[in-house]
Amino acid sequence: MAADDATGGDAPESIDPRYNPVFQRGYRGDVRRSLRAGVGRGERESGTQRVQREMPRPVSRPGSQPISRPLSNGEHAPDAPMAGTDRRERESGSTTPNVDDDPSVDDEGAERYLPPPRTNPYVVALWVIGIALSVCGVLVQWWAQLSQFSGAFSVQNGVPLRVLLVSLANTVSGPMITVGMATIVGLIFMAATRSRNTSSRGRDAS
Amino acid sequence: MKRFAWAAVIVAIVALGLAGLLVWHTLTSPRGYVAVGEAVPPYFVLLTQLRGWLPVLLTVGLGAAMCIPFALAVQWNRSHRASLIR
Repeated sequence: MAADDATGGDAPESIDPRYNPVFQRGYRGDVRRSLRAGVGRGERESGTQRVQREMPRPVSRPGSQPISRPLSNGEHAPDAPMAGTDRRERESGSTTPNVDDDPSVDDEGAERYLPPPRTNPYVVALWVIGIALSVCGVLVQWWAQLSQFSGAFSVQNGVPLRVLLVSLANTVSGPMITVGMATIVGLIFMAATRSRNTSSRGRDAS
Repeated sequence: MKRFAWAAVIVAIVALGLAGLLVWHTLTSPRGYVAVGEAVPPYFVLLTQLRGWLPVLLTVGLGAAMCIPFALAVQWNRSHRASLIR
């Protein structure tokens, strides 16, 4: 549900509509972006206006026609928009539209409430690159050492290309191993820093 | 963090570019002994002398290149800190 996604899902009643939901527990939107958008506005908004702007609005569905009941004098009352006339919504008792099923809901709003991924993709890439650099450096060094003593060569017609490649491999393998190891050490340091921050935060919360 | 990342990009490009130039010079330079008195262009001498700095240039260039994903990772952690607290 869009309202549940916007307000935390597990505790939708925790959002107090009188105040800005950005500063309340359970708000799952992008706090920085919301605050930045609020700062850039020319006129100041009240808390109620901001809640009305940020909360998802009911949208009209093709199958949900407004119901107008005949009055006592035989006339029909003017049509009023009515949300939650879908069968599933009636069963669940919710009056908010389902964002996942309705293409008329803007994608920007739905994207804003997506849960963030837990794993840092750059850290994963760094682990792969660091291990690959270290392993490739060792393999290049291994190949260079094996090729260096595999047989004698003559330099009368110039140095063979294979010797140059072996020399180049000897040169390149050292930096590869160094940078790979430094990357792994940096990642371990970063993980240690993050775990220390998390543990201190949990200690403060308890 | 953006300045740091851009500095790392510039250092990586310069160092790895110079390292690539030295590798190209090593592979394409005339192999064999140079006769005494033979005219050698100045750039050839310069690149030959700089060849000893190839491991340093590679280390600096690769290290600076690794700093770019590190900066992106730190930026990612900062942008997701609010959701991590929740």
